[in-house]
Amino acid sequence: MEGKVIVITSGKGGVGKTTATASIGAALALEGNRVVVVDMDIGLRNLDVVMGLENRIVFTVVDAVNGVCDVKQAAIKDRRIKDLFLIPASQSDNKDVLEADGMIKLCGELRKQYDYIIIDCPAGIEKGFQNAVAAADEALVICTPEVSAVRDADRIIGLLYARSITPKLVLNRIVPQMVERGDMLSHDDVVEVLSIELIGLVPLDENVVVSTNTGVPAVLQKNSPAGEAFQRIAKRMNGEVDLPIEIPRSGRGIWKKIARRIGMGRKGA
Amino acid sequence: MDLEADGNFDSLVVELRKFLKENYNVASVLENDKKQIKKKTDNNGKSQDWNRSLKSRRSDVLMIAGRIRSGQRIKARRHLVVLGDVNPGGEAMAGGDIIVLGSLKGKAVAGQPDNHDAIILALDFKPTQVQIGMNVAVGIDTDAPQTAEFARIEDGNIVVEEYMQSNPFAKLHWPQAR
Repeated sequence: MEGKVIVITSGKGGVGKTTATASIGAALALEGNRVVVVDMDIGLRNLDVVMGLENRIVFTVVDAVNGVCDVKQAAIKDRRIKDLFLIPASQSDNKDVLEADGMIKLCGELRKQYDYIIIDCPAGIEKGFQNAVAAADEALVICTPEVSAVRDADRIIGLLYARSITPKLVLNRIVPQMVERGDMLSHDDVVEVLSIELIGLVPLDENVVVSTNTGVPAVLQKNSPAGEAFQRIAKRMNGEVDLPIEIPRSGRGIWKKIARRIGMGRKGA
Repeated sequence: MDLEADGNFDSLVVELRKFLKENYNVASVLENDKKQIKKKTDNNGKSQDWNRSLKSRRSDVLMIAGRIRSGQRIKARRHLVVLGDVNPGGEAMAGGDIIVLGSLKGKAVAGQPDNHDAIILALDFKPTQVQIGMNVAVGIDTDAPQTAEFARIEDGNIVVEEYMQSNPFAKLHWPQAR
């Protein structure tokens, strides 16, 4: 069976594309698939750092496209997770060095060897984005519940539809307390404006900062709500489409609810 | 020859006269007696007259269905009807009226370039900016309930009113093409 090329994009920078790529790639590999994650942020590479593989880079995606090496040499095998590979970006070039045709050819090669090819798209709508989506079958749009992020995600969705790619939405960095107070957009508000299928809600999680700094994907961390959310997203992508979407709630346990009901405890605790 | 809708009738006659004289050796081209036409429309709109006038009038309306997303710009020469929403960052532009059968949360530019009778109507009127002709107005952030409202020009300013309460077209006596 031919592999599927999924591009993870957002328009806006800093919303969590690289974190999502690493986590979803790792989760899909843990489900038993052969996964390669490709960093397309040429010149500003981050996916290698987030996955903890920056010391082992010999060849990059630019080398693979230009034929300097073949695909097997550029793909770095992850030592913790079986069947997870990374093709890093080059740090010394910039986004004009690749063309869409090169990407289409590379993805054709990758489809023969892997089940899932997850592409980390750079921010923006120019050449970097166009190269990354050139060979994509599906897209995941990462968005945070902020007005500026929603505006940019809307633009990206329009551009993806123009290329006949149907995007799905991942809402990242949700703070349930702020949503309840009305200080943050709820996922219903965002889905109403963007009007695409929602595939996952990821809460704001301190463990993600630790994981990106130490190079351990969030799905491998214990007790990480974000890691668990990415794992559920990977399951939904892998065929379990009926897995219900869990809405992040603030951690008010059952006892606190009872206490509030009978009038004990602080107000607003 | 550039055939515009009404308004350029006189220049059209001049063009036609020149064309026929040059290419078909026509001796002279006479216009219809204008006085006669004026008399008929001065009546209180007898039914056969407005029926006939509606038949020969065209109203260019571009009707689109779907969502206008951020960064997308839909331009209509005359009127524009959107069966859907206009997202913030999206633009709807028209030479005549703009009717949004959905939420207007983006920018609407009607009456281009200088038609000050144009209106902008939306079932959920929450634009970031509206422009009719040369007048621009900034949208206010309200949590107002969803009622059909429309914007028009009154005394040189853009005013926004509820459509069913103050429907200006309800006062017209017979159907007129816009």
